[in-house]
Amino acid sequence: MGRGFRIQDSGFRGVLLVFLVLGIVSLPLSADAQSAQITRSEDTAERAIGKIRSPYCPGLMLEVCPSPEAEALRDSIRDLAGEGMAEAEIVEWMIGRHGEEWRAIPKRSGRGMFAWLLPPLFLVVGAGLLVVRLRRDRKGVLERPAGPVADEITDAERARLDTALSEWEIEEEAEV
Amino acid sequence: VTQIGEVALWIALVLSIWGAGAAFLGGRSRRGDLVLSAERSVIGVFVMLIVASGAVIAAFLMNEYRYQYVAGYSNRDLSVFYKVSGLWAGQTGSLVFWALLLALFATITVVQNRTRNREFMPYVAGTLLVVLAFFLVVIVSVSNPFTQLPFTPADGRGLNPQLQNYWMTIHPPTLYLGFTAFTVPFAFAVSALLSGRLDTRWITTTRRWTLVAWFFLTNGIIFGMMWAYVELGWGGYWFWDPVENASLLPWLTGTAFLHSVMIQEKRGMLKMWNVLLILGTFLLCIFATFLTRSGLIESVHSFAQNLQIAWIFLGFMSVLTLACAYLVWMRRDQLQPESQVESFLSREAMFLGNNLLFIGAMFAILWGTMFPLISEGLLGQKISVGPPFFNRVNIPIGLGLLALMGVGPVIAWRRASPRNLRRNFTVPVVAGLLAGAVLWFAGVRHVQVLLTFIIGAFTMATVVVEFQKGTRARAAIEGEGIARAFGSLIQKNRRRYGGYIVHAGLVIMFMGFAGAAYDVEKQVTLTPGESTVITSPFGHEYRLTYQDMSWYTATNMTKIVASLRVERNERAAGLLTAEYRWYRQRQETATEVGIRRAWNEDLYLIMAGIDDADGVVRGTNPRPAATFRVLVNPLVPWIWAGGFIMALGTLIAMWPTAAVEIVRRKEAAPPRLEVSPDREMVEVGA
Repeated sequence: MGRGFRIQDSGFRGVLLVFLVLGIVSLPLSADAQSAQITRSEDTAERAIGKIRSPYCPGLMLEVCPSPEAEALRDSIRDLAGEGMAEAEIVEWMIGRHGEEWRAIPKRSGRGMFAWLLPPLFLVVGAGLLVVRLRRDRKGVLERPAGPVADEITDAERARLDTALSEWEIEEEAEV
Repeated sequence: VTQIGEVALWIALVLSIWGAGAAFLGGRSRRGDLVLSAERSVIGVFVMLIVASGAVIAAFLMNEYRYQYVAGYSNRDLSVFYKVSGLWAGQTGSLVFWALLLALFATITVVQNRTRNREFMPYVAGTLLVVLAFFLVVIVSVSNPFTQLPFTPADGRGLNPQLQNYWMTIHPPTLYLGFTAFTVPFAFAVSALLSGRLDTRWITTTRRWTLVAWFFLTNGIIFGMMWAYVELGWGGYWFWDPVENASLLPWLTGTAFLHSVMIQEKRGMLKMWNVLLILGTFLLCIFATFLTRSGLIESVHSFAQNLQIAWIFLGFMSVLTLACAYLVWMRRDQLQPESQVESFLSREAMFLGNNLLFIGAMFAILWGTMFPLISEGLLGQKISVGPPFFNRVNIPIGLGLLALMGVGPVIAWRRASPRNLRRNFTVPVVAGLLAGAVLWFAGVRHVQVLLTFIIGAFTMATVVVEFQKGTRARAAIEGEGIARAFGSLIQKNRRRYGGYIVHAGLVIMFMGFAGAAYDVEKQVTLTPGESTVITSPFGHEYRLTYQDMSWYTATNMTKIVASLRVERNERAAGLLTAEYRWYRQRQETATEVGIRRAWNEDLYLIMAGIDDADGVVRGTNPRPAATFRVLVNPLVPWIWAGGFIMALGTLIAMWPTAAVEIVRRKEAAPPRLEVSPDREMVEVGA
């Protein structure tokens, strides 16, 4: 136990380096969090622009499309936001002018709902199947006498085991 | 020379069809002469494809514009570098290049297995030759690089400006290497299904091939990100473009496969799952080619489209899918697991969770990519799915994977006890919480950034602790110094510790992705002498002063270059240039960004417009006003650093061990006869 703690303590020392780097990176990020002084209308405009695909650049979002027409459209959106239009209204104005296909984020209602529904459904059903399967497997295993618990070895034993396993793997690879 | 190339393509086609037939017939009837002929056909196809590819390159170098392909992708002013890469610049050449790489890997497989895996080889060679034959049929029938124009133009159309970038010369070949290398494990899986040898042998045989394919595919994707970052000129590296997505799909299933095979090797589980994963990975490689070539979905990769070829690929993919499904169904009894998962808290369960998330991400990306088509076809309305959708769906999955990357490799097999959990996860959990606390007190409130750094620190800590424990234990047992113990730790178990290094690289990459939440951008029009200031999210200021504009004529373009002096916190920090290019032959414009790289951020400059470009070239207005987009992209260098570390880890994991080399040298004795006098196949080396 004592040996285990020693190792963990030095593990702490090992990860301290990671933190040092994290700290250096993260501390100044706060400057951004506090210094971002974007007015509400500009913010609204940028959020709306971030939800529209560019009719002038194939496959690109309006926010990054370099064409002059896209720049003009961005300016129009900023003007609308300056006039007090809400983000959703701006997006609908744009879709009304150019068509539904330029909406970058499908609606969460109507036909667009299908886009959002299936990926989580896939994961939920997959996780459900996995849990059912694991429970079934576990039930079968619990009915059998319990085997030895895998981690009841010391670090030294573990290192020997690793070496033996790696040698075995090398031989196995060589056979192949 | 070029006529020889066309003849070589036809010979390769005939050889591949003959070889495929001979391989399957030889495997079924156990006739060694037929199998030997098939294996020689593989080598023959490779030689013929070298000749054909050489001829295509020769046509580019000799400016043979009578050929439609050369005229479409080259011109006299194009540099030799880009003329050579003309082989994969367009669809026609890309298919030849695909076939060449596949033939190369097929030849290596055949040569490697002269005396090994003889029970697999007839079907392996047959499967590889079927895929080669498919590509060759497409090449000679609908996408022949030697198709001639009715006249010979004086010059070619030139190469797409976006492709005239060094990353573009290495990104497609690396990606193709990944796609084609996955054909080898696929062929072994098909062979295992056909021969009924469904134990772990096909997996251990293809272990290194899978790593090789994964290595190239990973690097191909990263090179593509680098290309997008420096060439597309919008400041980003990944845009969830359909073609980008298509390359990510096989990567996700391939990565899931790399993890799940470990469970089959150690516990005899997931046999069917592994077969399905590798079959699916190869089919997704074909799907990626289909999507890239079809142009069915709007993409920034719109320079390579041919609907006819797309449908041929779709047909091939459908036939392969049906054939694979049939084979799996026929062997379903042999694909049952030998043992069961005993606990939710076990490595097996964590790997299953990891597989679920990989496949979940693959499905989400596939669904999002195809949704515009599906909605148009089934719902009667084209509904677009842009990057925000993919980000929202995939970020939670990515964070889950990041967490499992820390848990999976260190939790116990079969069943983890409370002691095991305490022992392995106390330090990482504390590390994660500490990271969160540091960021919180530093003022970071972006939830996704916080989660990425907390989970990333947790996972990184598991890697650090594993290395630290292993090194100390080894130093104590073997009496080695720490540095030597560290080195031999990796050397003695390259697969395991190489994997940890890959994980560490991925953590750094994820942190780099998180930096995008703090991107800063500014657009400004300046006249010479004027300045603009942009504040980095790290607190310091950059002042950019528009100094000068110049122009000059390069080999196939005219460049207008704006120079801006950069000061960081009022201290001189060099010069940044951004270019506006006019490609004369193609009558197209492009921009070239300027990037000032630091260890933690990029200062990124785009010349969005020039008030009077003509005036610059004519000399009437040599220094006009220009519009610049200036961005500060925090942590982007971490993405590339993470990619480099991942590549290093993969190389370590797949590097042949010394022991294997010794055995191979012993095996290097003259090959024994493979065909017996009565023409029966002899299982040499079995």
